Amino acid sequence: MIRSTWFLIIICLLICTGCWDRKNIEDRGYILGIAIDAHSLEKDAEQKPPDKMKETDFGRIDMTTGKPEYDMTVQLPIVKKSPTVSASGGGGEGGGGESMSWQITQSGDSFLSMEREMESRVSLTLFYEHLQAIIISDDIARAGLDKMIDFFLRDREMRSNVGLFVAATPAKNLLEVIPRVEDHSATYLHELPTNSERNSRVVYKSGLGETVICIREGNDFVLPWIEATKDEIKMKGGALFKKGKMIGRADEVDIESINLIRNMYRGGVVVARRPDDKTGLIVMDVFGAKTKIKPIIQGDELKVDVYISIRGQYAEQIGSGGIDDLSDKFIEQCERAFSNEIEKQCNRTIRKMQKEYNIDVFQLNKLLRTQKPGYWHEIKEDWDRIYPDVEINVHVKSDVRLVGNKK
Amino acid sequence: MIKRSDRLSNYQYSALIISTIIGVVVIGLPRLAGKAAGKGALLATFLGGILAVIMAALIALLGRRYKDKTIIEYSVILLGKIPGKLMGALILLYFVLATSIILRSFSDALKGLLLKNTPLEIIMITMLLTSIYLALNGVSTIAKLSELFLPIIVLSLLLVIGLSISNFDYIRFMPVLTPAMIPVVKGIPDLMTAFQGYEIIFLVIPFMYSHKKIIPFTILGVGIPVILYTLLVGISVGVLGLKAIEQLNYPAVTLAEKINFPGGFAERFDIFFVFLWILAAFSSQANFFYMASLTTVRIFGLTNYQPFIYLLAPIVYILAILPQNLIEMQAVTKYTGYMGIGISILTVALLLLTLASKKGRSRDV
Repeated sequence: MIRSTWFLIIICLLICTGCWDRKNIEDRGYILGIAIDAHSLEKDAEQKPPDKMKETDFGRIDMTTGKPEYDMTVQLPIVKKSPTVSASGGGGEGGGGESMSWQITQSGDSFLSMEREMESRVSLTLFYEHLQAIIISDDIARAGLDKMIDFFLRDREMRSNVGLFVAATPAKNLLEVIPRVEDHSATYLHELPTNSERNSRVVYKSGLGETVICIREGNDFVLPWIEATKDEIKMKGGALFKKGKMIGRADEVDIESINLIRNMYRGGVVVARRPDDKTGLIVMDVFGAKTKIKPIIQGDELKVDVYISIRGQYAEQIGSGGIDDLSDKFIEQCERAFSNEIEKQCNRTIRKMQKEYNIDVFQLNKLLRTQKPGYWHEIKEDWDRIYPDVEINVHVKSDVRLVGNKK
Repeated sequence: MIKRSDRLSNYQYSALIISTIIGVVVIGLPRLAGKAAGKGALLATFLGGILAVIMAALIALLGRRYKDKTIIEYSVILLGKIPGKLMGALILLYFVLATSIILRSFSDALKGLLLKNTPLEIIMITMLLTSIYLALNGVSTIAKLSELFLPIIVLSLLLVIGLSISNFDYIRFMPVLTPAMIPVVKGIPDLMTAFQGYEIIFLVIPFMYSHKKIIPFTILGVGIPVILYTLLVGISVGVLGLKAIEQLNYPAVTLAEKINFPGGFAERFDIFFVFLWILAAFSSQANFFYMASLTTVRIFGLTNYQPFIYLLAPIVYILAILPQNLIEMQAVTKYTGYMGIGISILTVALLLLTLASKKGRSRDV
């Protein structure tokens, strides 16, 4: 008994020590961002001498299955240049408009083959667990997000809260941005939606996981649209997706309305005309909003009532002649003005989404499916035809709770 | 026949049942539920669990009548020598198959989730050796380990469920609450397979100190997994959606992956969940292995089960290595599960009927 136990212990020691999957941290290439473009690298037939070789020449791939479809660009941080390392190493380099990351572009028709091809150019093992952002170019998005997304779901290293963004072609320009504050453009991009608590005009909750759920369930959705200069990125409205394909763009006001109607509004600013002075403005700093949507079926007609209640503080007024005393009556007038403004804005967006794009971006289908399952079952084949003519009424109730430092 | 130190307390008995039931299946459970019952996933899980509780209670009821005997002995008493032994052999076959399936699906999942480059055989052999080591020490050690692991296993599941509540969207859940009954009923057998492991009651009853409160502690032992599994399926539907849980291989891991601590100061909770899941898988595998060897011993009417552990290990290993891929594996798992349910229902029904008829006859005389 004792001998056999010792025997087992020794075997366990032999087997359990050591690890097949050991990988040193400095051998891993942490991919921070991925940009996906349609294939555009040109093919040069002739062999060039080494001093004439360009990066794009390396990006090509010899393949057996036909033409390359995509260009994938990944962003690798150059760890040696990162500020923490250079501070301890005493080097004064880094910063000053110098890129701290390496963008590698590779063309191919499948993402795994592109990744593995890239590894013939990179001395590190590419590793996705720290991926921050995936940027998809306009034309790929229009061709269909659902077509190419599979790799990013199947691979074990991918996380579901990776941010998805859409940009004008070529998307890799976004990764080339050398940000002023952050070290790498991908981390910069990842941090941008954090301001959605203060600015409601950005799309948030648009991670890989959320998006895929939308694609699977057949819901329409919005992804943030981004634009960039040399050293700056801006989230500028959203890209509208219907059935996994991009069909158009929404401006920032639309995004605000969509956030409001989908009950994803977390805070922002509402500006309205001053009730006592038509040239002046009043501003509300919203700290919270709640939306309830009620579908009503009258006979065969579907009517949707959207009840939005927002609360905030009276934050600013612009215009000649200060108001000496914020009376109850004035605040009431202001609340009405704010409500009207929001109603107007929402109605504009709803009209645009219904008539222009025919895209159910408010996810009314989800609502009907859950609240009126019987009705939904009857009309789900025809939803595309019914949706543009559904009567959507927006009722807004705004509530001014605070008035700031001044009375 | 049984040493005093080999006895179990009531709580150890419950812990043994819980740790046998909660095992490998946890990480794939929502998929199982979604595939089997569709919209009725939640209800089917719960009803499957309730059926498992009833089965377990019936087994305990039988066991209480023959306090110092396991199924192998009392089936011989009730059914006669040859049919009783045959039934014992059937049970043994099931236990061996179940052990090897747990071993294989554990190793497959671990290889897929954590250890990409480690050979499958090494994971399997390591696991098998560790469970041999545990099983050699007898039922009281296994029970103590189960008692030790129990809070960790239950807490890890509760943590995943609790932390996922912030991702929960009741809208995804809404159609689930009004399911059609047909898919629910169809899904129940599949979901009952998730609760396998209560068969341990067939064997451990003679090891208990007292048999007075056996029924409540059986219900406790099977009931806790039922509650945890139902919550897990519910939260998975609410967070991931029905379509997703049907498509993902390990939905519970994806569920854990989606957990974001406030402020994002910790991510990748799935790694911790997988670590804790290894404990659950190990204890359930070791328990099944022990049951298999104990059954063998009892069939041959011997007392020392330790040599049989060494004898069974290669058989289990070979059976586990046979399926070629994940899809084959899933099919084998399914049919072994059905076999398990079939065997336990058959056994209980047959034995209870015989018991009733014998009672009736004795009253006549």
